[in-house]
Amino acid sequence: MGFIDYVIIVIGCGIGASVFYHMIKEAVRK
Amino acid sequence: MAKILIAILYIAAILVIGIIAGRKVKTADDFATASRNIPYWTNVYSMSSAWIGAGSTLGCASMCYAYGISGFYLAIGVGIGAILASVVFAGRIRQENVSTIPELIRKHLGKTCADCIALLTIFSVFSVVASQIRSLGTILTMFIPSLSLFMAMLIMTVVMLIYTVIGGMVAATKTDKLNIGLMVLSVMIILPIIALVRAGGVAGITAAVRDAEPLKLKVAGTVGWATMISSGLYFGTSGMVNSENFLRVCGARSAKEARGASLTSTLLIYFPYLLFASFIGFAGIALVKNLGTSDSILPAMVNQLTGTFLGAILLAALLAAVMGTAASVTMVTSVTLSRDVIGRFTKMDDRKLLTVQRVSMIAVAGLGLIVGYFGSSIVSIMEDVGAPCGAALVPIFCGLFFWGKKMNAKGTLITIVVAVASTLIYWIAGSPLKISHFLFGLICSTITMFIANAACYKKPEVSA
Repeated sequence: MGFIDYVIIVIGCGIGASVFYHMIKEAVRK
Repeated sequence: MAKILIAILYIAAILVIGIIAGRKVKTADDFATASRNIPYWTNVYSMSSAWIGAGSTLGCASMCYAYGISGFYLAIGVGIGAILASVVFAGRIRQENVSTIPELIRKHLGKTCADCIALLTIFSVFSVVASQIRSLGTILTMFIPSLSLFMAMLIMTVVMLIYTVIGGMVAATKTDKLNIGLMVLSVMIILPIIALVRAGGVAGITAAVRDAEPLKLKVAGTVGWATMISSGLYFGTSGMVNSENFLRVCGARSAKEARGASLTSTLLIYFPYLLFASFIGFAGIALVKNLGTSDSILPAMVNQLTGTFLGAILLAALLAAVMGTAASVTMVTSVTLSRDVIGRFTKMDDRKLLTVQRVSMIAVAGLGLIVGYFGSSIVSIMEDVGAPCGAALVPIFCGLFFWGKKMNAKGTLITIVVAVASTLIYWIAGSPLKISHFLFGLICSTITMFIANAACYKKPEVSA
């Protein structure tokens, strides 16, 4: 596993974290 | 057993969320656009879920598995089209306060143009309904192989109908959250990590591809620049007028939110999702050898690389990807049919319109089930014949929003006729210029739009 592999994983996880963060935030606000 | 359990859990979750949310639906506008009150982030997820269907998931992976690096043109073309649709059209469409494309056309260009566009839209979107229902059935048979394709399609159609007929857009936006959560988790996190680890990273993937099929590492090495540019333009421009998301754009709370939610959905989820799905297909070249058809690369990778439980969750994500789009296109077709076709012949109060929308939805899904099952070739023909709709709508939308004063009913009607005739004649002639029939029709209709509208334009008389 090289640098580019970790970049791909970080991008995927970052997008996932952002999606779930806003999903939970919206649910909590209600 | 785990697969069946996950499938049942997914279906139960969709039904519970949809039915609870759907109890709020009281009016025809609640059903079609959630009363134009969809919260920002709910709309971001809902738009992403509507955009991401069988084509985006299985199609992108399949293209990169079959053509290597060159296969990324599908993701890039579709992604750029979605960005343009968000930046250019989303806010302007919401500002018009309409619910369907023909309603927008009727408001500016009269009944005849709207009727033509209504027919073209229904025909074009219905082909997507049939193909998505078929995809839903195909994926369910991966969970339960003993099910026949028709039975699987029937089960998924009934599930989709239960929550959408009760809850319309309100239920769709709620269930889309579950769908998008599953899709992001599977296609953007779990599958890429598994593929990278198993293949020895990007270096391992490229080394394996170089050994087996070196042309797949060269841009345009397998398909050529002409095909890549022509197909990229096709997917980009056809994606600009996106019927699936029209109701969601109209359901945003304001024009600013419609544009923002659409752009966020594209940049944060849809475009990266397309690239990740393509990357998984590319990694598949190194991991899955001698696959009969490239279309099944994603399910094949799930089967080969994961255990039963994880595999079942990943398959549920595929089901979710198709479910959101299937519900969305069925709703668009039924709302357009109720408001712009049936509504033209009979006057309906709000209560009756809500009932007609619900009944239309059942009829559209039932017909989609039959066409999807009995005629996969009919579906592909319908998709080809649906191209005139896009070829007519792209220049008309651009004209309406950026050249509004000169646009008139007569000039637009000529544009529609030229779009339909040129696309179909060129298609029947076997696409002799090596560009797609949609692109050819689009070029003809755009030129015609400028000439015909300018020629038929009459200056409004100024009253003294």
